[in-house]
Amino acid sequence: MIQIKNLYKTYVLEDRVLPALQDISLTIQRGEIFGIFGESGAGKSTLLRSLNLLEKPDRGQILVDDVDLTTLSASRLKEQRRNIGMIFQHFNLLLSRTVYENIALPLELIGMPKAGIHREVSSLLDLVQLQDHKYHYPQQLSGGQKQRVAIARALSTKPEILLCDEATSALDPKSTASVLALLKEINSRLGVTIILITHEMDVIKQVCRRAAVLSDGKLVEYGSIIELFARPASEITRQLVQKALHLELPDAVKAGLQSEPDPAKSLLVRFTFLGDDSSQPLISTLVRKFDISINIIQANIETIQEATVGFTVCQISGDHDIIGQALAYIKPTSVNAEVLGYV
Amino acid sequence: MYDLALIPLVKATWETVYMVFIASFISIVFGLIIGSFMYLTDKNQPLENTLIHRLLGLVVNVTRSVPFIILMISIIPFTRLLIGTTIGTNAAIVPLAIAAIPFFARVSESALAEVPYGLIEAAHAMGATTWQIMSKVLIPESLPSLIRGSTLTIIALVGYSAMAGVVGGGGLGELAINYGYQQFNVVVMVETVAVLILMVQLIQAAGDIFAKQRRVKAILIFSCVLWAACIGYQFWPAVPQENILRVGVMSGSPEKIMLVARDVAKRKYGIDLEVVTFSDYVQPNTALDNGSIDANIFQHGPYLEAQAKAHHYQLAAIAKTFVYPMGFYSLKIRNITQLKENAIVAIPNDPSNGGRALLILKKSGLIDLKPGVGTLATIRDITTNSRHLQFKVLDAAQLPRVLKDADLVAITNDFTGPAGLTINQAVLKEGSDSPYANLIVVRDKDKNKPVMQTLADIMHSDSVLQETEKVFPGGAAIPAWK
Repeated sequence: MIQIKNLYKTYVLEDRVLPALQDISLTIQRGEIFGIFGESGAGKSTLLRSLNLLEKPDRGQILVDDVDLTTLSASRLKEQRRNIGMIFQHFNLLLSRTVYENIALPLELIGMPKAGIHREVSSLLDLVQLQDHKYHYPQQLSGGQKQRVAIARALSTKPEILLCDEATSALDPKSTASVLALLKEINSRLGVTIILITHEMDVIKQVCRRAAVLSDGKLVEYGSIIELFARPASEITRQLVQKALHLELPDAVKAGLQSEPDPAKSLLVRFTFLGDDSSQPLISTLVRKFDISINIIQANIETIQEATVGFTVCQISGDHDIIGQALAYIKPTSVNAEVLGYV
Repeated sequence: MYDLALIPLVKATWETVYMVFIASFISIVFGLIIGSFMYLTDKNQPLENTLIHRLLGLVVNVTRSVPFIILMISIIPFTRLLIGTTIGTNAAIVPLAIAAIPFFARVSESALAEVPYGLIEAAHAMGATTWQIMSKVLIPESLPSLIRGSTLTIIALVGYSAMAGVVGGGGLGELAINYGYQQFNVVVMVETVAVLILMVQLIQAAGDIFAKQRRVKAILIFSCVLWAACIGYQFWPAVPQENILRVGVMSGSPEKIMLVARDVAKRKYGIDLEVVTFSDYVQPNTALDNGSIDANIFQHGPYLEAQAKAHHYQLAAIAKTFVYPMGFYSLKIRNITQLKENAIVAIPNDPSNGGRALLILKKSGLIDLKPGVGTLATIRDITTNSRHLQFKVLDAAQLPRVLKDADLVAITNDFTGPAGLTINQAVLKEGSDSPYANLIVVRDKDKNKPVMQTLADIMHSDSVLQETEKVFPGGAAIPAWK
């Protein structure tokens, strides 16, 4: 278990002080894949690097299995780092070493004998399916292959934790999918806790069960992915989700939208359905029970992990008081209704 | 004149290889260590330490600013401490290495800085120690740059080694300067320069291949072979040399005369005379004072006096040899009365010969000097210059070469012969009353040794006298002991 407690970090650039992390507290469970999401400059990279103390926080604690990394001596920290593998956006492979030698590097650093290194590296080459490339140099590999080498290298000392710094951001969609599949496999087969940061909501959606959203160095919210997508608690998360899921309204609708209530206009409402709740009965029920008419403007269904999330944007016309009653009626259900404005 | 002189060429080539290889090896090893520390103590690096980083940078910059020839002279005490002597090939290695260490330190610092920071971050994340980051990541990753930088350093050292002649270091540079340049021997100049060009080409080509193919093993094997050759050369059982008298003279004509003296010494007195040649006027006294040579024959009384005073030398003159009258030469006028207003007059830049030239001009009435300045007069001591003569102060060896550019050139006797001049052609020359007779100078404590008297006898022998009159015909050398 990794606990981050009241973490602060500021950068001093010439005469300006830039707060990078402000009072971050998080708990990451053993064996999960945890995502940290945020736009560039949100502080996610600083947060990830604090977890193996590549960045020294100004204040706060990093507890890995109840050991506070911030209080360790330099040599104890080096030992701890061998328990925390890390991969990077730009792979950071040594160009002077072959695939085999790159994977062997962390084992050389701990002084493992050659025979042992050979055994370990061979099984890692199998895991990342690069046996055929072991004598190749990084320049001869594709981006996806390079990241696989980096993953094998990060796993060579059998760490319990793997930190992924924008691991797929430099990859094409196909390589991204294969690297993500590999990370999932490592997580399920070896039980490695994976913490990844990304600016791509898609990556989070595909592999993470839980995630945190960072904005301007602050933790906006964190919890299960489904909750974040279906019921974002903060405006920032809502906007990020909309952007990631392409939930933008059609331009024609957007142009006529206004935020002030106007009894003469109809309401634009987005319903979010979780799991197997179907939208059809809900809309027909509302129409039957209340004196309103509902016009579906936009609808789509997203699969997040194993769960299905449906989004439907409707234009509801009728007396506004009755519409209010109708919305109140669905409050207790699992369907989330959100008034976007008036058209 | 058109003797290709292959044996001296091969010897000089080997001396250059020897000096440059050992100096390069030392400077690459120490330069890499210093460069690594400069890199590691920089901001955001593992051993961040602003004070040490700045201090190293300052030392490196200061050393790099000092002109090589001045560096070579100023570290003489250190060289002596290390090698036991300040002349010879080994002594030349010390200043060469010291000049190149800061250069390679900068080269390696920037090579290391080219390694992407991400790799260092990755190594930190693996729990690497600073030493492991250095040996497993930084050096292997920057190897091509380091090899290219080494190539640069070695070639720079080939250039510097040309100046090793100043301390009797030998090598191609000395051959080219002392036997080619100063004796106007075009063949020697051309062949040495050709060998130097070939050498630089080979080094560059090898460096490029090694850098491209990361041939560390090949470099190590190559270094080992060269080390073995150097050590073999150094410790090859030489003929036991006892009863040796090392005499320092200027290279060129005086050296020719000394070779005759060497024969006389061997034949008549059974003394082995080793002729050590120099190409500047400072080193022979330094070498004599510190025991690298036993006597020198190149200077006159006023110069010895000035040098002894300036450097607190305990030296003594035991006998006079010849007066080599200094003359003013010209390609533009035949008689001093033809000298125009604003004429350009070139004189030597060493204090005593410069003063000597000015005294001749004073005597001829062209200028007047401050009263009492004597033999150490400089152009600043000129009080009257009615013809507005423009003085140019040049290296003595350079003077014969400016005859076409200057109206009047003062040339010491060392350089008239090779330039094809004789004293009879001088438009202005010293009279027979010159105080500038050359002296045999020894350390003060040795002046009563019988062997020194023998040296004087050798120098005054008929064979030496005949050779001198042959080398300096037409009254260019007048025996001063008679």
